[in-house]
Amino acid sequence: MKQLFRSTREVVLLVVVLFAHLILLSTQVTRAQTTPLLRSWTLEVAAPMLRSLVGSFSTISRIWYGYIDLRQTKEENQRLKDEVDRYRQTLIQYEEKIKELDRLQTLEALQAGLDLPSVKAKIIGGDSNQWYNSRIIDLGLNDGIIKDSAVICPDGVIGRVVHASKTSAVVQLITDPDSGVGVLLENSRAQGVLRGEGKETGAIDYIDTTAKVLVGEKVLTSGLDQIYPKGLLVGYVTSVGKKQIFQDVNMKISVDVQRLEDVLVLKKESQS
Amino acid sequence: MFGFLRYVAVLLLIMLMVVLQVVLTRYFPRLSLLDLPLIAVLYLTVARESLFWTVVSGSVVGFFQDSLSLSPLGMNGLTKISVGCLAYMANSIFAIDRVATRLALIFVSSILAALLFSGLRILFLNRNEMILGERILWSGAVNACIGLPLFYLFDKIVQSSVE
Repeated sequence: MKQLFRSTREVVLLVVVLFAHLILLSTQVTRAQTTPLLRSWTLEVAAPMLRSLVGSFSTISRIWYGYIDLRQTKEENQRLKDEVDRYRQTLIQYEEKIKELDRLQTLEALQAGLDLPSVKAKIIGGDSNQWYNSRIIDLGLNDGIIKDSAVICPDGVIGRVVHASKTSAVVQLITDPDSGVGVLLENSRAQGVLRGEGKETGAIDYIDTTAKVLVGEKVLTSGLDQIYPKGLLVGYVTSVGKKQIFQDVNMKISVDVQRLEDVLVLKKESQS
Repeated sequence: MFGFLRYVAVLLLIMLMVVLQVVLTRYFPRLSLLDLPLIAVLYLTVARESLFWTVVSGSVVGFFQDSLSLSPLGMNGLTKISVGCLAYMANSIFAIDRVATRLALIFVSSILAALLFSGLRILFLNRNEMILGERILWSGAVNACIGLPLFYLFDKIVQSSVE
């Protein structure tokens, strides 16, 4: 060992220099790996292009996905609109059902309060010409409805059956000019005959001049016509005038005959 | 066979008009001014140019209409046949194929039908009713306005069935 190296100092120097070279080399190798000049220039040139390309691609993809989203949104919007329409339609149907149920419940309450047998019927037709005030109902002889059966609703008297087939019947409304209903005024107890005028008003004939008739007084059925049971509401007195023998009494009919849907038909015992 | 089918088709058309009239007035009572069955009779009279069709359609329409209302059977039939005959005569004198003549035919026929019906009510039912001029005029106008497009609709249906 002493023959190879003259002194320990030389060995230390060798080691130090070798070590310094190693460090220098290793430093150079590291620099070459991280920042090669060519690569750096290439990157410098390519980077903006890549950046812009990537930017374009991302813009395009944003637009594309936006379009896809828009289309999907449009479709979804249409689907939701359809759904809302369906729900709205269902809601209307439910509301109609509730209204119908209300009407039927009111009719049932009326039916329960009556002593007479009765059946519920639906209006299925109107006047076939302008000269009469009539309605067609969906029940007939098969349901125990015969001529002169009274037809009523919670608001009051509607009319009477004039023709009946097995499954349907024609009802003459109390507004018909040919109709006549025996009536009684609630307070004055005066009796007369209601004559229809083709509209929501009517005239009461044969009211004695001595009777003290008041405007607003209730007009009820008298039962004397043997069609309508006594005590059913017909309407209210609207005006009273004096004539020579009888009073000129006009009234408003309590039932809105234009908007009838469900009615109650009072069963009558057959004459035959 | 084909002729028989044609009769059935006409009968169905007439029934449809009466049913439509009853259904429409159930929901829109003011439409009682309209007389769809009369329009059907007038159309058949003008289109067929045959008194046979007028009498048959008038009778059938009248029977259906009376059955569904309070009027005695025969009132509407008599009215429709009489007015249909007058329309038939008018058609043989004037060519009723233009807008003006068709409008005039429906308007005048409606008024005549209304007057005749009122007359029959006074005669047979002993009704002391006033003849409501304004209402009758309105009825004529409504029938003319609705009847005219219906005439053209019937024309189209007949043409397409012939083709």
